[in-house]
Amino acid sequence: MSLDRSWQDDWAETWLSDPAYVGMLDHWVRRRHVQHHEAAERHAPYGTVGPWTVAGLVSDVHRHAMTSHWLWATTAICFLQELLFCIDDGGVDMSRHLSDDFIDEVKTLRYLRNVVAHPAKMPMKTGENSVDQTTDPLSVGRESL
Amino acid sequence: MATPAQAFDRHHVPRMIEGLFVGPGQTVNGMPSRLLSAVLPVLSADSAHDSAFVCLDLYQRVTDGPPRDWEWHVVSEIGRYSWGHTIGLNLGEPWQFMTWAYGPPRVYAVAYATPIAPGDIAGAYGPEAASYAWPQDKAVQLTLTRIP
Repeated sequence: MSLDRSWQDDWAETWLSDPAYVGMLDHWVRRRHVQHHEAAERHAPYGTVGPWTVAGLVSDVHRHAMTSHWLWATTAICFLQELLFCIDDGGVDMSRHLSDDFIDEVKTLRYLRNVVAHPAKMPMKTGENSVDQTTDPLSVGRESL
Repeated sequence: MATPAQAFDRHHVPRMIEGLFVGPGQTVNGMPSRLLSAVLPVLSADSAHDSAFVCLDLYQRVTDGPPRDWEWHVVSEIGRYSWGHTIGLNLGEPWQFMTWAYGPPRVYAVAYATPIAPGDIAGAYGPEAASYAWPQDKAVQLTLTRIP
């Protein structure tokens, strides 16, 4: 991450700015959602399968960033990682099928998620639920997304 | 099990225009290999020539399985809070619809039109279109205005 560049420049270099790619991931996540519900014999409408969608969160990331609401943009990114990296197995843990190539980036996003989504929780032991686990959590590349 | 003919019909709605919704800050580098969005113009429109027309908003809905399949479906009023472009339109953002259906890419400005009741869809869009809509909810209608 560089402080010399605009958000627009960073955004343009990621898949977040590619509507076709966003649509494809949105489709895949919705489909996995529906499949998990069906496995539990629950009906889930594809069009409104959950309160968070990839397409909705991606537009939220950009919307918040454009108004310099960085904490909210980060929160949307953290929710986005949970959809993308947990939905394959349908839980809140990282999917077992994630590639080792980017597992560290995913873990860092998850530490961030704990910080932004559970602001009152205190670490019970060193390293737990903590930004301690990475030297500079905010250096997690937006380019990684 | 669906026959090949039925499966083909589910994947193609007559008169529909496939394309891509493009939001603020998003860029399109050529035609995607797969288009996941489409619109269905009203019967009274000549979408190839009209500079503006009203249409239904379609998405690819995964159907109840087995077998696993999908079909085009109409975005309902409830669905407005689920899709990137409708969330953006809800917030007053400028969104565009890009299509390659007529050869060179065309870009349209997108705006909401008055939602249409399920019982009125067949008259405005044809009886087949009504089968792609939710029977209990009004459907989203969009006005597309071509950008030269």
